[in-house]
Formats: sequence, C-alpha cells, structure tokens
Amino acid sequence: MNKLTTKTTKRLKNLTLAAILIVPFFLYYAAINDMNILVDVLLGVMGSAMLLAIKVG
Amino acid sequence: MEPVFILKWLMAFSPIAVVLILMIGFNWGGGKAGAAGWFTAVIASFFFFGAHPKLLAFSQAKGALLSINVLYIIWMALLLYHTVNETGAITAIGTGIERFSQDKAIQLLIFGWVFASFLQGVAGYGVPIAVVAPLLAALGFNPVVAVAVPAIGHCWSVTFGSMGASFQAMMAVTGLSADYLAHWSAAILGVSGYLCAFASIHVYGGWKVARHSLPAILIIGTVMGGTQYALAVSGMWTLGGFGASLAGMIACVAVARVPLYRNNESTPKVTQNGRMTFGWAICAYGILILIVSAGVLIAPVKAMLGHIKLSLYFPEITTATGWVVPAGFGQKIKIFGHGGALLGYSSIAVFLLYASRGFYEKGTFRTIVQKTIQSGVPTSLGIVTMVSFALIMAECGMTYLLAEGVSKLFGAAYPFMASWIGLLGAFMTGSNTNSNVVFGVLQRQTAELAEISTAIILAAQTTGGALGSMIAPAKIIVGCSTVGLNGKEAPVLRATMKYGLIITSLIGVFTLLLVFSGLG
Repeated sequence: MNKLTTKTTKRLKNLTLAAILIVPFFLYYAAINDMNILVDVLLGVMGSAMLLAIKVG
Repeated sequence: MEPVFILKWLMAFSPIAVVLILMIGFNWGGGKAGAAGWFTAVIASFFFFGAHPKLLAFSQAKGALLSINVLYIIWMALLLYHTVNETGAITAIGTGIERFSQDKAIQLLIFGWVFASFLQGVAGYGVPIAVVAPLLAALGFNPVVAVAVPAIGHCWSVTFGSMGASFQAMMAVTGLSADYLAHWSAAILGVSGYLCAFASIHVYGGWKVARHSLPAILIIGTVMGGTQYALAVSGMWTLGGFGASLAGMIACVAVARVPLYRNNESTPKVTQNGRMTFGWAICAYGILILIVSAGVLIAPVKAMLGHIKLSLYFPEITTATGWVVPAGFGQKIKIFGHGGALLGYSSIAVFLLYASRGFYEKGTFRTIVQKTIQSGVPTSLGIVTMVSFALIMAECGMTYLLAEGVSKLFGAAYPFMASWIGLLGAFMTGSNTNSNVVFGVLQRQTAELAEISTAIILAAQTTGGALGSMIAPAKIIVGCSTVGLNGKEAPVLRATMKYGLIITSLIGVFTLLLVFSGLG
C-alpha cells in the first residue's frame, strides 16, 4: 500500500512539474491571440497544478 | 511613509511572508511553499495591483522560459554527477585527496573546503554535504563536525558552482550581463571563501587550530578566489567554482608539503573504490573543461552552437493601476550553446569513455537516468513555483514597491542589509538560485532607487544567498542523514547558524565599506 502511494505521489509530482512548465506556453498563445476565455480556463489549469504542488510537492 | 503605502507594501510582501512562514514555521518544502506563494501573489496582484488574466498569462510564460533556462543547467549537472558517481569516481577522488596530508586541520580544509567546493562545482544541491560528511566521519571526526564543516566550507562556491546556475538565475531575473555582474560577485565571494575556511576549522578545533591553519587558508584561499575571479570575469563563469576548486586541490598538494603541516598523526584511511583510479576519475572533469572551454572560447564553435535560440516576444502591457511592462523578448535560450547543453555533451562523452573502459555494470544507464530524475524533480518543482510567483510580483510592480519601501526604511544602511536579504532567501528556499530569483529584481531596483552600485548590491545578494546554504535546514537534514544523525539536526544547525550570521555580518560591513568608498 505504502509502495503504491509513493509511486502515485512521484507520478503526480512529475505531472505537476510538467504542467507548470508547459501550460504557460498555451497561456501565451491564448493571450497573444486575444482568446480571453481560453486564458481564463488555462489560468484555472495552472491554479490546479499549483494546488497539486501543494498536495505532493 | 503614508498608511496606504504601508498597506500596499505589506500586500506586496505577503507572498514572500507566506513562503517564509510555511518553510521556517511549518517545515514545508520549496515546491509546496512556492505554490502557496503563487496563490498569495495572484490574490494580492488582483486586488491591490490591478493585475488581469492577460498580464498573468504573459508573466507565467516569461516565468516558464526563465525556469527552463535555469533547469537546463541543473538537470544536466545532475546527469553528469550521476554519470561520474556510478563508477565510484567521486570516492576515488576523495581517496586521492586524503593521501596528501596526515594533519587533521589540512584534511579538514582539503575535504570540507576544497573537495566540498569541487563537488559544489560539479553538482551542488546538497551533494557536497552528503558526500563529504560520511568521508570525514570515516576519518574519525565527530559526526556534528563532519556535517558542519562541509556545510560551512562549500558555501563560498555556491554561486559559481553547479555550472553557475545561481549566477545564471541572477542574470536572468535582473536582465544584467555577466560582464557587469561577474567582477564584484567573484570578488565578494572570494572574500567569503577565507571566512568560510576559517569558520570550518574553528568549528572543529577553536582558535588554536584556526591559527595553525591560517597560512594554509591564506594560500589556498587566494589561489581559489583568484582562479574563480579570473574565470568569472573572462566569461567562463560556468566553470568558476569548478576551476577554482581544481586549482585549490593543486594548492593543497603544495601546502601539505610545507613542514608546518607535515606531522605523523595517524588517521584511518578511506578505502579505494573498485578499479577506479584517481587519474581516471579526474579524467571526467578534464573532458568537461575541454568541452566547456571549446563552447565558450572558440568563436566559430560558440557561434555555431548559439545559432538556434528559443524565446518569445511579449507586447507592452499595463495593469489597471497604471504600471507599464515594456514590450520585448523574454529569456533567450541557446538550445545547443547553453551551459546545460555543454554539460550534456560532457555527460555523453564521459559515459562513452567509462563504458568503453568497462567501469559500468549492466543496467547502469537506467540507474543514472532514474537517479537524475529522482534528485531533479523536487529541486525543479521548488524553482518553477518560486519563479512563477516571483514573475507575477515583478510584472505587477509589487517587487518595485518592496524595493521602494526597503530603500526608504533603511536609507544609507541598505548595503549592509543586501547580504542579509540574500541569506534570508536561501534559508527560506534552501537555494542560492531561488534566493536570487525571488530577491534579485528587488535588490536591483532598491539599489537603483538609492543610487548606489547595482553590481555591488547584487554581489552582496548572491554572496548572502550562497552563505545561506550553511543554515538551510533542507541541506543540513541531507548531511545528517548520511552520518546517522537523523532527527538530531539541532546541534549542527546551531553550529552553522552561529558562523553563518557572523560571516554575513562581516560581508554586510564589507559591502557598506565598498559602497561608501564610491567603488562599483
């Protein structure tokens, strides 16, 4: 059980890092093309990634 | 100061306060605390500094570019370290060094100062303490001393160690060049080198042993500080810490032959690891020097490798409160000519060399990759979250407001505080790099407002950040775990805290003198 939890935490940590590094480029694309709704959605995704970082970081 | 200004200043400081409280008071890691700081920065920027979604979007894109620029070096430095360490080469280098002298003070200087600085030069991120502490314990030193000595001794080389990742971060966030920053950074760090060496001997044997070691400290410190300075100002700052410690090792050989340090005090020997010899072990770093020198000094090679750059153009954007962020390119990353790329080439060359000599067992490649990822992810998460909130603060004018407040509050005494701010950043984040990211812009803007040398203030910032490594709980915990002091970190932290605060005060006074003398 502990092994499974550790493995899941590691995966979530990797996923969080990838999200925080990749989502900003989509944010840039949306902002530069004035896609305001997409900017809001992606900021929400960014916030979720940060919440995940607080959980597993 | 007006009450509205004080309220806005407190709001601007709130993300940093949250990170400090969570890391110091609640023992949160950098990744978690940085993410909490990000939420605080978003809320404060929306309600008090006129931020809007588009501005946040651009700030996060700039932050991602900046993070990649720093992480490129960190990941490749870790890859090279594990590529080398899997052969037993790091232990072989330690064994080779141990043969130089039987004098306890010289051994401490060699391991706790020079070899720890060498490890900081090639890896960093707690590796010097983790590797040197058990070696010193094996030589018969008290476990508290075994951890405290490398923790204090390696600090001076943190900024230009790890292939200059902390210096790179400072340049990236402040937008200032290596030509402008290297001179004073290398000079003040050089001064801190003597102080770190003296403190690391004092923690072992008090004033008597410290006096006995003074000539050695002066000779080796001058060689290391001078080499680091020469490399930094000649554009090879990525090799600053590494080259300095190599020169220091040569100086150690000479100093160990001085009659004063030739005694026959017997000490247990560290055993040689497998078939790896000192010559083959050091060969890996010879390759690194060759590749980095070629990439930095040979103009056609430099031009060819620097041809492809990754960057994004950002238009001018204004907050609802009128703060204007000018248009311009974000961080430019040379994909093939970056310091990280040069480290990557070195890792491949070293791996092929050692594999051809049969130094690796089957499946080692997989182990190297796994260990690199294991050590890289937690560090990276801390850096990325810290950079993300630091960029929000900078883009909304929060950092500028902080700088304005500090400048008004401390006035003429501000230069004394610069190294303390750097120390605080490293203590709270466990990293000189993070400290420079969080406080670099603040220090630059404060220096500009106070009309004093930005180069000297940023040098004090990064020196304080480097010294913070000796009191960063995250690093002390790593060291203690290697000598059986798990859960007993307090005596080590008490020892390093005392020396850390004294050295930072001395650097503060030195900075104040430099500024008042009109230099910079």
